[in-house]
Amino acid sequence: MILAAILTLALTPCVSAQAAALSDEGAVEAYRAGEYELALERWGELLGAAEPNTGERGRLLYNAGNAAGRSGSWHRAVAYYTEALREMPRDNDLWTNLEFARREAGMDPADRGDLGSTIRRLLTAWTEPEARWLALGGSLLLVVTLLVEALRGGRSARSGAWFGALCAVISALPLLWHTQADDEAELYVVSEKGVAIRSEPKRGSKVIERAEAGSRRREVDRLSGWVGIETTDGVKGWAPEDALLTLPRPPLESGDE
Amino acid sequence: MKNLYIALIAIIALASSPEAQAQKGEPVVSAQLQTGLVKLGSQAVAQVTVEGTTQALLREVAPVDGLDFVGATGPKRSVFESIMRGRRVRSESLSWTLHWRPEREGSFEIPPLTLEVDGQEVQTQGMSLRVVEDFQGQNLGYLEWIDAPTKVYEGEPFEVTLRFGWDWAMTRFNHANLILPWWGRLPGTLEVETKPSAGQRQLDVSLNDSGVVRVRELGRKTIEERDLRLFELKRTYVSTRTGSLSFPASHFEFGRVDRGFFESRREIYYVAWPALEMEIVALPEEGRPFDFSGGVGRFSARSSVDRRSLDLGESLKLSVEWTGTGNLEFFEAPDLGREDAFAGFRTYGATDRFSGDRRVVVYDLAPKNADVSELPPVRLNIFDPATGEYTEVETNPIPIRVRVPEGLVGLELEGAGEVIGLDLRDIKTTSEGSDGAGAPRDLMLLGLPLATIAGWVALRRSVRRRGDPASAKARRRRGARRSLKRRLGQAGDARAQAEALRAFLGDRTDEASTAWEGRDVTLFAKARGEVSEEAVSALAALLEELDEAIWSREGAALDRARIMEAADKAAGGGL
Repeated sequence: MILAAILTLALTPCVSAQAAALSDEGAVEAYRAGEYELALERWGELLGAAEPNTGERGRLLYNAGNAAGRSGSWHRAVAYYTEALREMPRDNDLWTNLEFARREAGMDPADRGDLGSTIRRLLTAWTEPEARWLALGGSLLLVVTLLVEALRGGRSARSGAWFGALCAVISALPLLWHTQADDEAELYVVSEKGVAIRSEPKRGSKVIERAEAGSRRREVDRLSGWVGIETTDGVKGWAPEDALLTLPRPPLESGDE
Repeated sequence: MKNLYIALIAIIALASSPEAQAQKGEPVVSAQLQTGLVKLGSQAVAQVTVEGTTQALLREVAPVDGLDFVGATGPKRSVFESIMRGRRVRSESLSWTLHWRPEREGSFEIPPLTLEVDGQEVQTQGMSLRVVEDFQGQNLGYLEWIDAPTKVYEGEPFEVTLRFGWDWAMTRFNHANLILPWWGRLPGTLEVETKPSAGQRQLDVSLNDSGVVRVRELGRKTIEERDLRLFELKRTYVSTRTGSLSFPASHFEFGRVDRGFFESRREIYYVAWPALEMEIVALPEEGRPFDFSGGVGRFSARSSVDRRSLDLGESLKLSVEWTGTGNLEFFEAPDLGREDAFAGFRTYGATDRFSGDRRVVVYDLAPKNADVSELPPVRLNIFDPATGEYTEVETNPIPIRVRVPEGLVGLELEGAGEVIGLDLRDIKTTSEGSDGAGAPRDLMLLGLPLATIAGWVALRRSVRRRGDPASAKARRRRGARRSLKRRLGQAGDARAQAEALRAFLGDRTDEASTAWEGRDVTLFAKARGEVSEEAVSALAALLEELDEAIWSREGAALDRARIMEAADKAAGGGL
């Protein structure tokens, strides 16, 4: 009995990985056969189990974006691609498809090429683990420069220390961005004409705001067929579930558990 | 000499007479026709003069029915100065010359002209003009519109032909001037360039007094029992808008002009032709094909090809030529790339050429496959004004042979002809990301900077307690070893080595190097109390050895490494 339990526990990850691989193959086959909705469904199932920061979640989101785009749901594709950027921020194919989907959806480019977009892209060009390594590197530089300043003193050492501090701050910015982005809303408005946010979860209730297609909102509640979301005034409103796409993120491994 | 005296006295007397001295008064305005009676076809000329000022403007000339105002020249400024009774008198005047051309015979009243003189509005008196037909000119001359259409379709080219001339017997006549007020002023029309007929004599005649136009000489012709020398002016226009188009009355001025050295002699006659009205009507909407080319007229089409046998992948040139009467220059040639009949061909482009009486378009075509056996007819939808209906002109099909060269079988590109454009990039079947499991944790990332800052504060305080590490003393002490190494590298004997070592010791103890000359190292170390015994003994032994080497005969240098070792020991031992 005990042996059987041990064997079950040992083999479980292997079996689940095999099942995932089969499911992914099935999704790819469905995609190649032009059954985009089926492919989207299968990749959606795999997304729930995909671990973050391994590249796999990004790949699944990317593929799901392709399947959504091929089925004509460009706003949905934009949502998948945008979410995939967290995992593959420097992937050329992903950026190409994101901009393509945004254009098809009638949205402005994600990277407009101005200074703000460039800075934003620089900050978001790192995955979360990369941002951590970068922050560590900045901290080590600070250690070295402060050590020199403490032991030797002088103007040069002081300037070096300031430089080290500046580098440490700059290198920490991508990580800070990731920390802030973790709080970003996971709900995407994917209805082509946007969605009306109502005061209550029923069709006839008062519309208190309109959310544009492609915008993101924070989920605060959920009922059957309705999602409670936060309006721009911070008030809770309700929108029909089918107009929104939720892409829940698995918790990031801070490693401090 | 006597006559000269008489003339001089007369001038002085005239200048001193009281009547001759003019007084400067109000400006005087006058207008006068050169002649009150003019022939139909000639111009009426009036002179407007303002005396006593040079500040005057001629305002707009009011229109007169039947008189075409040609224009005004001027103002011409005149200044006269004279001496009267010892006073210099100055008179100034401005003058304009105005021209009208009568369009019919009759009496005309030219209303007063308005001028602005010295800032004030002043009017001239009115003028009367009588225009009479030049009966002699009508008998001697000839002017007629030939087959002028009264109704044309929009876009349809139409030809106007004007024949003119004079009696064949009037061989002395050498002057011809066509007065065509509509020339270059036909709104809503475009003139079509036509080739002059070959074999006809061309000559230039005056046009509207100032220009020249080339006409065709028809020679001696008899019209209505009149023996005439005839000329012909022919022009083709295309109407671009609907409505009425009017050609005002035309005149022909002819006769003899002899220009002598002192005077010119003119014998001028006029013959007139009344105004002509034309109606431009719109093309009917009924039956208008969707691919109507805009061609209006009677066209015929024919095609030719530069070769009828070609290999797959090669192109051929299909020339389509449209001729006939119509707006050949303006219709839109068929785009074969959009024609279903030419789906079996790839169109690489076309060159379009118009040469007066024909329009030639050369298409560059390549068969897409070897199944193509003929070039289909090229169709052009046009409007035929003669029947008032839309019609289609087409070329004949041209049989061709397309061969597949050896080795080219199956080379026809899959997807050829499809539109090339952007698309989504393909899905990814393998993950490209790296494992992020080994990334630094939050505790490390937060703790390291905090620990660094705390450690820096503590270390800094500790170091500063022993003095400023950036002071000159500290820097000298830190640089002592580097300095010693350099000096030893330059030292060639024991004396120089001893000086280098003393300099090192001086740097370390913040003293002059001479302080270490003859110093008892052991006593010094005891007094400092912080130097290790091993270091002191090694240093004392080295100094002693150096002294011996200096005072020995050779004075040879010691091993450099040994000196550095002793120096390191001394520095490490607390010196």
